[in-house]
Amino acid sequence: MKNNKNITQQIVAIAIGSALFAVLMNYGGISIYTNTKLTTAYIIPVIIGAFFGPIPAALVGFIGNFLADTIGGWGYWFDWSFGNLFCALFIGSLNLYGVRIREGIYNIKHAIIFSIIAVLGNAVSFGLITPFFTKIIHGGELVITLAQAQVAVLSNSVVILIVGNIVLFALARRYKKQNNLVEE
Amino acid sequence: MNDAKFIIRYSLGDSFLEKLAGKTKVLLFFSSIILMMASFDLRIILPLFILNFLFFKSVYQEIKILKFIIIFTLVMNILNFILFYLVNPTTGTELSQTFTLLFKFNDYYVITYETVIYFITRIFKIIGTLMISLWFILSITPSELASGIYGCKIPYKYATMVSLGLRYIPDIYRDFNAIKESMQMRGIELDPKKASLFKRIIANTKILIPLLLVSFERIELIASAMDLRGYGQLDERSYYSDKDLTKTDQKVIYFAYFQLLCAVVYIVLNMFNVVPKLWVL
Repeated sequence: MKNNKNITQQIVAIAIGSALFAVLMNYGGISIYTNTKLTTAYIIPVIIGAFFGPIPAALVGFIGNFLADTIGGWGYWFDWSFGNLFCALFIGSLNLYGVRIREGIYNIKHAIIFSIIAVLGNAVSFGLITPFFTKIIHGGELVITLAQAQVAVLSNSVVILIVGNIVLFALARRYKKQNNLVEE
Repeated sequence: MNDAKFIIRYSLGDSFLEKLAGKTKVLLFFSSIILMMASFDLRIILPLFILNFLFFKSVYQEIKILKFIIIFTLVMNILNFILFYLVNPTTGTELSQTFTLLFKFNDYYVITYETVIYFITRIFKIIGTLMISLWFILSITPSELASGIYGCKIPYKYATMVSLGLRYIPDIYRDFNAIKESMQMRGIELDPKKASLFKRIIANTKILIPLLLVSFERIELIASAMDLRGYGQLDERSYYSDKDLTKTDQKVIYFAYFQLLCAVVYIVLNMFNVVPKLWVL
């Protein structure tokens, strides 16, 4: 049981992250038309990924979607939960390519890699994985799922690219201020 | 919290479902939902729907949000059906490979018997799934959920994630609203009629950053408190809300395993194309 402190913190981070994801999924929408909404929820896996790594981010996507379905009351959609799991895994893989938010390391190069991975991850998760599970679970209602998936990929990418980069830069700047001590 | 916007219960009454142990509820929930999702057969879905409707009825309470949810789901799905029909009027026929004409608007928009069956099956399936999720959330507390998940032999760390997340949703919602209102008071415009989409995205970011910072402080606080109480030292733990399984619990658990078995058999048969994709008489 080494690193006990870290494990507890990860567990709590996943729990709080899931709760944030669920709340933002239900109430944090930016409405475009009456029934279409951009959700800011996908920022949470990005941030959790930046602090704790991709696996906790993926868990946030999955459990967060489960909780969102629970409080939202529209029934459970596990095909989307699995899509979210993979999507969160992709967009939460920030520290695999050298982002260190806690030390304030996040620059333009990272932003570009992050943007590409975010769009690709979204396309793979909602364009391939969600329809795959829809086919297994619901047996051929692909028309609607594919239409929804296109909307989801587009809107999620927009939000992640704009809001994600702003938030990441803001957090990096904030943490950089806190440890600007120079060793002499 | 019962009058608020969420359905999260902290104390339970004494109806049949509410008195079951956490493990029983979780098993029954998962087996029902898997069977409901796997099958596309009215013969399975209809009895399952009636059973779960009765479960729901037994734990139903007069909460405003509940009525709203049910009406919202119905309206959304009927809209969905109309869209679905306009896109592809012969879905049922494609699934069952038979064609029985009932009514004809023109050459493309026809109503076939199979499509009617398909839509009936689908609406019972969707409302049934909704009933299952509603009775589940109406009959369980966060602590019981954790003990139930742990009872299904899943490591308790995952149980903590789910139950802690469920427990903190009201707090985070309160924070979120407070930040949103104070930001609006400072002049951030969220009304779609008054601000452009890009401006609203930026405005939402300004709400998000304080929310994230508050939540991260909270993470450290809770993690320290849990560490101080010795969380995660041992591989096993017990729960305060754990109950011994009664005879009723045993029977319900057997029933849940039976449902699970049905679902697995159905999925396997479906993979080898033994059962029809859509059952029609």
